[in-house]
Amino acid sequence: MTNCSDMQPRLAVYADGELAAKLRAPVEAHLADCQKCRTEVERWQALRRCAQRAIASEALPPGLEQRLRQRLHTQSGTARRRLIKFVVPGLAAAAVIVVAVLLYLPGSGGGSVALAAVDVSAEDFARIYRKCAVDGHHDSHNCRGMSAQDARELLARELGFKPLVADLSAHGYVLGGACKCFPVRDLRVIHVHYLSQDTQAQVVSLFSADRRVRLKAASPFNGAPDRGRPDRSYEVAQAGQVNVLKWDEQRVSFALCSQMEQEQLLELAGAADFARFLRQLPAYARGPDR
Amino acid sequence: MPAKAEKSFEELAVPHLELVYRVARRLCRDEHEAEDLVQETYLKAYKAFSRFEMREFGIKPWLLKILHNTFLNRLARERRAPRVADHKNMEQMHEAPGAGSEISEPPALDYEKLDSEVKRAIDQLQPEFRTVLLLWGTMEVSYQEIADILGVPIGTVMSRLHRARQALTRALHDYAREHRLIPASEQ
Ligand SMILES: [Zn+2]
Ligand SMILES: [Zn+2]
Repeated sequence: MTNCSDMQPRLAVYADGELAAKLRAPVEAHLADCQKCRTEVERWQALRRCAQRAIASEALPPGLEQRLRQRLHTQSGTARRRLIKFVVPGLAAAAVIVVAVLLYLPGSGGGSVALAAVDVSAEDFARIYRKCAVDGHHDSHNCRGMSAQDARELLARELGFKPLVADLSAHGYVLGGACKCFPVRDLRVIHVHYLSQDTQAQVVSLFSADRRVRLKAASPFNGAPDRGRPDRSYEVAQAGQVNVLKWDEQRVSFALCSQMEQEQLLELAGAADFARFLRQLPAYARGPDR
Repeated sequence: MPAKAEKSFEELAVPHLELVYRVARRLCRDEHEAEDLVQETYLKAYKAFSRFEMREFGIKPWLLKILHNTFLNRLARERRAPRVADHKNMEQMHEAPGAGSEISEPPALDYEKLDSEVKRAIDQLQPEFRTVLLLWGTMEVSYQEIADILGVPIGTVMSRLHRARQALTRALHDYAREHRLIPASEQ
């Protein structure tokens, strides 16, 4: 009878059914007589089944297949979008990142009833800002590097409506990505972030929601009203180092989120061209909040 | 006639979405990132589909190959932009299991706990070992296919798999001992 230690290196491979034919016969002859090695083969197989179980325990995210098919359809027949030439600066280079969350208009939301307002804390915004913009560069729509105009068109095709993508290129910001990560349940958003080639060590987010947001622990923003928009009333709140600047437009809200000074956020908020976008709001989002 | 002339990319590739996602999920930190990776993989595959020779490779390993390359690109990008490391070293996996864990009565097999132990162990492997172990763990591809996917010789697959499997066994040592999952040679 062959020695167990001769068998050792082959048992795992045998357990996987991958042992070359000419090596299989002696292993099988040994296994017929050796309980210890048979057990070992079984255990290697059990280990693989454990791995298989664990890997298979992840459910497909809801809607992923549909989103994928939609994107494949979008791809076919459309010319490749034009990319702005720029190098995405690494965080090590301490680039400025601006994150904008665009108004999310659900396809089913055709009614004219405004959605109920929700409470959101500065920390809720800050969490998404950190996760998606600072750490993740989250971009489920492959918007990175596109012009605001191109991104608007791409998102319109993928989402079925034309969201606001503020053109902040005059302020030195280019698009870094778009996603739909929401700060709290029941609040739907679309999330687009911009990167700046600027080397200051800052990161910024701009959020828009599908309804009014009540910013928890907020105070009215009184600084530099001439640089903001006189027709808007801004509110601010803080979560650690992160500032959140929020304002309402008709029945929906927008917020900027960053480690910038509040005055800088105000400047970006004032720069975004909302007028044209607001004319395209769906019925439920139009009109004064009640 | 190559099969691709008869079936569209979507018909051929989307049925493997679950497999591709599951591998991606364990390569990434979270669901968002995994979905991004999967979408990027499929878009790349879609664009390259006309150049794809199914008879030589098969769509499943081909998708996994693109997934792997895309993952490596992202990894390289991240390494240029350093962040808090969240993948522990292989060495840390080799720490001896805690002493004094005398078990009098084996507890009932808690599959959810086992799954999360296994996932945690997989997540702690270095990427090159993790990828091999994941592909092996799906039970959907052969050693040769793993070699093709990763673009390495089959011997490399086998040695990486050997190490990854042992690391997994060690990480699960306590758990595995209770449930007789450990090969005799490892005890
Ligand atoms: Zn034996
Ligand atoms: Zn996100």
